[in-house]
Amino acid sequence: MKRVSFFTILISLAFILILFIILSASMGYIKIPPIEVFKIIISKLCFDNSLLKNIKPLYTDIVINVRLPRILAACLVGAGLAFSGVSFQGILLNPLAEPYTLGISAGAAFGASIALLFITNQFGIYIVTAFAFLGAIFTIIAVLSLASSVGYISSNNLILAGIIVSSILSAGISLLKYIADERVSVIIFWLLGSFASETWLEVLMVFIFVVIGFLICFYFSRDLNVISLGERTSASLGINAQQVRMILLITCSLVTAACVAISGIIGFVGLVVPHLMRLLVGADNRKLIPLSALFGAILLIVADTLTRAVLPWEVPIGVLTSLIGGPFFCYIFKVKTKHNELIK
Amino acid sequence: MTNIYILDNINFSFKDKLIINNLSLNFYKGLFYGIIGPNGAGKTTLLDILAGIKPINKGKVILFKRDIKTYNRKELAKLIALIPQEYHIEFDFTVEEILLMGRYPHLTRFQSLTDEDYYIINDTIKSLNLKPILHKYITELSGGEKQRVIFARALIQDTPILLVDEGTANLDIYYTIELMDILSKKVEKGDTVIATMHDMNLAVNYCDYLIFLKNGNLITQGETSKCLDSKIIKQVFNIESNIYIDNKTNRKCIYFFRGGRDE
Repeated sequence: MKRVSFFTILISLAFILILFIILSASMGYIKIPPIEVFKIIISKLCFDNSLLKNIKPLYTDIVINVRLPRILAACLVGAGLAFSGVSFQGILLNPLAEPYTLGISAGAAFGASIALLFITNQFGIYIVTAFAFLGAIFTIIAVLSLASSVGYISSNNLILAGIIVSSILSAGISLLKYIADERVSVIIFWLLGSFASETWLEVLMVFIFVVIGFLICFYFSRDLNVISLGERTSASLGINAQQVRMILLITCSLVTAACVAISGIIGFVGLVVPHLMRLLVGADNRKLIPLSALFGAILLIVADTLTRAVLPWEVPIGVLTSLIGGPFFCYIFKVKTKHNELIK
Repeated sequence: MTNIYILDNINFSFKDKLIINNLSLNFYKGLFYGIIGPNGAGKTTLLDILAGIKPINKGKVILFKRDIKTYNRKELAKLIALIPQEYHIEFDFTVEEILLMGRYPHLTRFQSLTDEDYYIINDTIKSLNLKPILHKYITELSGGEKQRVIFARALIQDTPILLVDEGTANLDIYYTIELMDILSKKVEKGDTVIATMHDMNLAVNYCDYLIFLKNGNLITQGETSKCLDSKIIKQVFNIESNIYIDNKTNRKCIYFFRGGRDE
C-alpha cells in the first residue's frame, strides 16, 4: 500500500474532525442548521454574543449544554484510547496490545459495578465515574507491582500480570452481577459504554488527562521508535528504555482510566485505529500518535452520532464501534495480507 | 598509542552467578579487537559493560580518561555504537526509517536531519548497497538483509568505537567479507572495533589483537600473530586443532580435527 504524505493526512483529518463536530451538533431530535451551530460555537469561543442575535435561545441551549458535552466527550475518549493504543503497542512491543490489555477496563468496570450496586444517591453519576477511575488506578498498581517483582519489567510479565488481574476482576464483576438480581441491567448497560448525559465537568476532566497525556506521548514518540529496535540497541542509541516505558505506561494508564471512567468500556478503537493509521503512514510513532488521536476522535463522533441521531433506537456505542469497524478492518487486513503475498 | 578503555579489575554478577571475574584489560585507538571464547564465556556481557549498558559490581571502567559512570547515555551514544546479536523488530518500519534512527543521538528530540547527517547516511547506503531494499519494510526482509540493515544503522551512528556482537552470524561469505572489510576500513581511519567472534579463521584474518575468555576469566590476550596457538585453542575450547601458515597470505589458519573434542 502506498504511503500518503503525513501532513496531507493530518490536515485532512483535522478538517474532517471539525466538520463532523459541527454536523453532529446540528443533528438530533431537533434539527439545527449547521451554519447556526457554527455561529453558536464561534460566539462562545470568542465571548461575542452579537453573532447570536438571530438564533433561537433554545438552539444555543441545546448545542452548548446538551450536544457539545457529549460530542466533545466522544472526541476526547476516541483520541485518548487511540493514541494510548499506539503507545501501549510500542511499550509492550506487541502489535496486539491495546489500552485494555493490562486490565484497566476490568478494574474500571469492577469499580463502577460496586458504585452502581451499592451507592444510589443524587450524586450517583459522579460517584460511578470516580469509582471507575479508582478501580482502574488500583488495577494498574496491582499489575505493575505483580510484574515488577524481579525488579525489571518485561513486556511478557506485564501482559501476563494484566491477564491474571483481569480474570480475577471479571470473576468479581460476575459475582456483583449475580448479587445485583434485577438491577443487573444497570451494570450491563454501563459496561457497554455510552456518552449519554455527559456533563461539562466530566468533559473538562477527560480533557485535562487526554491533552497532557497526548503531549507526553508525543514528546517520547521518537524514543518509542528506537525502543522497538530492542533493549540493547536503544541503550546504545542513548535511550533509557525502562524509564521511557515506565513514564508512558503510567501516562497512558491514567488517560485510559479517565476515558473509561466517563464512557464505560468502548473496545476496538484502541486496537484498530493504530493499525489503520500504520497502514497509511507506517510505523513511525511521531506520525502515528497525532494521526491516531484525530482518527479515533472522528470514529467515535461518527459512531455516537449514529446511535444518538440517525438510528431509530440508541445502540450501545461500544457495540456499534465494533460492528462498523470490525468488518471494515477485516477488509483492510485482507487487502494488506494479499498485497504482502504479492511482494513475496 | 592512545588509550581508549582501561578495565581495572572488574566484576559482574547476575543473580549470584559471577559472569565476569576480576578482569583487567586495556584497549587502544585504531585497533581491531576480537573477543574469543566458548558459549557462556561472558563475551556479550563484556560488550555490554564496554557500551555502558550494564553497571559493574566491582572495579572501574575508564573510557577516554573518565569513569564510564560519569557519562550520560547520550554522550555514550555519540562515542559507542553497538551491533547486537538479536534484531527482531515487530513493527513495519521501512529500512530507511531504521537507518535514520542511527542519527538520533546527534540530534535533539524535534530537530530534523542536516546535510551532514544525509551525507553519512547516503555514504553508508552506497557502501553496503542497500538502495534496492531502502523502501522495504524491515519485517519482510530475510535474516541476512536485516543484519546488514542493523549493521548499517550502527555505522550511521558514526562513533569512534564500534562494538560488534556476532555481527556476521547470519551472513553468507560474500556479505561477511563485505562487512569485515568495512570494519577494517574504519579501523584504518583510526576508529576502534571490538568484536565477539565465533569464526576463528575470520578473527585471525581481520583482528590485530585477540582476547580469550572462558567462564568470565581472561585466559590470554595479545597480538593475533603471537598469541594464537593450538595450546590456547585446546585450553579455551577443549578441542584439538592444527595451526598452519597459509602460503599465499602468510597468515595463520586453523584446522579443527574431526572427533577432536576432549570428552
